Amino acid sequence: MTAAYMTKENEQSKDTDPQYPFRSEKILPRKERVVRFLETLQEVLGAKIYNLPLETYLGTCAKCNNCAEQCQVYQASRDQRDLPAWRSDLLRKVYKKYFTTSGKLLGKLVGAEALSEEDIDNMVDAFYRCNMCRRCGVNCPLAVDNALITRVGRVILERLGFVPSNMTLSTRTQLGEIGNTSAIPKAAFIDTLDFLEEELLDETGITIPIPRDIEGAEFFFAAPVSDYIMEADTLLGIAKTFYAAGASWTVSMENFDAINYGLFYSDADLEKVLNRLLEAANTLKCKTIVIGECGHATKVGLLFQKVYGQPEYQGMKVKNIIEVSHNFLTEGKVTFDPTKNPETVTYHDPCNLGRGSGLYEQPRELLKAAVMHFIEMTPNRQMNYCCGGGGGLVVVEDLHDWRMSTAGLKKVEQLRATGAKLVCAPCANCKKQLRELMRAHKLDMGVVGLHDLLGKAIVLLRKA
Amino acid sequence: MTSAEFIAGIFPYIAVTLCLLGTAWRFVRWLSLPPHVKWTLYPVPEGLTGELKYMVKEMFTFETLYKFNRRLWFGSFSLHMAMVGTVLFFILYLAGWSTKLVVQLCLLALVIAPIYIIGLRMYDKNLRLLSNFEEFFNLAFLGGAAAAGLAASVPHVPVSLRLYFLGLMEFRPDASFLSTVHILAVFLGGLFLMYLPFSKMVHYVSKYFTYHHINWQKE
Repeated sequence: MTAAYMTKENEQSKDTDPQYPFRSEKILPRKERVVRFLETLQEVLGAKIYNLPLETYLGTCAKCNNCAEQCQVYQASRDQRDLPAWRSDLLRKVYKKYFTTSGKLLGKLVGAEALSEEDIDNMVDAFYRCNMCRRCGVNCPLAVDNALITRVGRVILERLGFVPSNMTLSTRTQLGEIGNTSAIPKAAFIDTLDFLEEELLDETGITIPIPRDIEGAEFFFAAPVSDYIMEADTLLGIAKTFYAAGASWTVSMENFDAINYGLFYSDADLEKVLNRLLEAANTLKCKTIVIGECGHATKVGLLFQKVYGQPEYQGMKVKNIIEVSHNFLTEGKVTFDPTKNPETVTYHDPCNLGRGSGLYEQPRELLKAAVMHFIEMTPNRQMNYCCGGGGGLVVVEDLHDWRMSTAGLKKVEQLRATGAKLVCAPCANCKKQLRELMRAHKLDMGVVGLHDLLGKAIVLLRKA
Repeated sequence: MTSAEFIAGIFPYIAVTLCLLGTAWRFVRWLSLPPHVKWTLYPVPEGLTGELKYMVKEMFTFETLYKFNRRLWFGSFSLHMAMVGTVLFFILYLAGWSTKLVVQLCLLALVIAPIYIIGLRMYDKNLRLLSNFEEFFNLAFLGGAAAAGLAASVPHVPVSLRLYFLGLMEFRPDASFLSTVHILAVFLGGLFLMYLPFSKMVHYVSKYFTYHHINWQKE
C-alpha cells in the first residue's frame, strides 16, 4: 500500500498547507510556489556550477536502492520517505519534465511529472529528513550523491520561504552589524578571550596569548562562535597547540565566527558569509585561514572558495585546525604526554571532515599520540554514521525529537558498542547532537573535542 | 529494396553509427560543461593506478551492490556480465575462436537476468516504489532483443549466420538467406543500440564523470 504522503489524493486538501516539520519565517502563498520553484530551478541550472552533477545524477540513477542500506535515517525509520533515491526522485521528476527533451515529449514514460503544490510539501518534508552526510554516496554503483540533490532542493525551497527559522535568523545576525550567529557583542567577545587567557595562565603558569588582529600572522583563525562560549577547553587546547609550536596566529575582532549555515540552504547566503570571512583574513594580510573544530565551515572553505570566493581572495589557503596541528606533530613542533588522558577514547568522524574533507588519519594520529587508550568505533572513516544532526538539522529545535529517536539512533548503537568513556568529536554541531543523544538515551559517555584532549596532554615549555 | 533487405543490409550500419555518435555526444557534452562546484567524496584513490584499480574491480565484481543489495546484485551482475560476454564471445565466434554455444549461453543469461530483475522490482516494495515505466521498459527491451537473438541463433537456414555478419563487417552484407526471425533479431538489436546512449542506460559514460570528475576531483 502506498503511504499517504506519497499520493496526491491524501487527506490533505490541495488548497491548504499541511503541518510542516519546522517553522519558517515567511512562506510564499501556496498558489505562487510552483511557478517560483520552476523559476528558481531554472536559475540554479543557469548558474552552471551544478550542471555536471545534476545531469549525471538526475539522468542516470539506476534506482538500485543501494543507498537505502547505507542511510542511517532509513535504517532507523524503515520509512519509505527516507529512501535516498525516492527523495532525489522528487526533484528528478520535475527536472525531467521541464528541462529534458525526453521528459517533455514522453512524460511519465521516462519518469517525468509536472510539479504540484503537494510535491513541494513532500520535498519540504523529505529534504529536511536528510542529514546530507553523503554516506549513501560511498557505495553508489553509479557514484550518485543524493546529498547534493538534497542541497539543491533546499536551495530552491529557501526561495519559496521554506527554511528553518533558526538558520535564517542566525545568518541574518551574522551578516548584520554584530557579525556573528550568536549575536555576541565585540566587547563581550574581548572579555571572553581575556577570560580564556586568564584560564590558560592559571592552568599552566605560562602566559599563552590568544592574539587579536595581528597583521601578517601566518594563520588566521576562526571557530564556530559557540566554541568561544561553550567549548572553552577546545579553544584552550588550540591556543596551547599554537603556542607550543611557536606559530604566528590571530583571531579577528571583526569576524571570528566560522559558521556558514548557507551550506545547508542557500548559495547566496553561503557566498556572502564566505566572502566576509575571506575579507577579514585579507584585511589582516593573512594567507592561510584555519577553521576550528567545525565540519561544515571547513567544507565550505575547501569546496566553495574557488566558486564563490571573490577573485582577490583566490590565493588564500583554507585548512582545518586538525591538519595544522597534525603538521606540528609530524614536524616535531609539539609533543604530548598521553598519561594525562587515561580514559578510553573513541573517535567520531564528522561527515564534513571525513567524507567531505578527507581528514581521516590526521585526527587519529593526534589522538594516538595524546591518549592512553584509543579504540575505533565500527564502522568508521568513510562508512562512519552521521551523528544525526548533520545537514544543519542540529540547530532546528523543531526536529529535536526526530533527531533523538531516528536520525541519531544508529549513532547511539554504535557508541554504546564501543564501551568507551569519551567520544572525541571535533565538530561543534556533532558535539551538540551527541550530548543531546547521551542525555536522551542515558549513555554514560562524555563528549569532547580533539583539542580538549590535546590541550590536556601537550607538553608546554616556557618561552623566553 | 524490401524492408527486410533494408533492415538486414542498411539498418545495422545506421544503428551502430547512431550508438557511437550518441555515446560520443554524451561524452563530449559532459566533458565540455563548465567547472562545477567541487564535490569530492573522500577518500580518493591514490593516483591513476589507484583509480583504475577501483574502477576495474567495481566493473567486474559490482562490489558496491554486492555489499548492500545482494538480491539485486545477482541479477544486475549477471545481466552486465552477460552483455559483455555476448559481445566478446560473438566477436570471438566471428573470428572463429569461440563456439556458437557460448554465445547462446550468454544470450540466454541476457534473457533470464532482465526477467529476474523485473520480478524483483515488482516484488520488493522499495524497488517497486522507485521503479517507473522506464526501468521496466529498458529491461524488457534488452531481454526481448536478447531473446530474438537467441531464437535467431537456432539454425533456421542451412547457411551459417557467421557469413551474414562477416559480410556486414566487410560492407558486403548478403541477407538473401535470412528468415523473418533473423530480420527481427537484427531489427531489435539495432533499435536497442540506437536507444542505448539516449536512455538512462548511458551510465556506461556517466560513471566516468561521476567518479573521475566529481567524486575524485582533487582541485
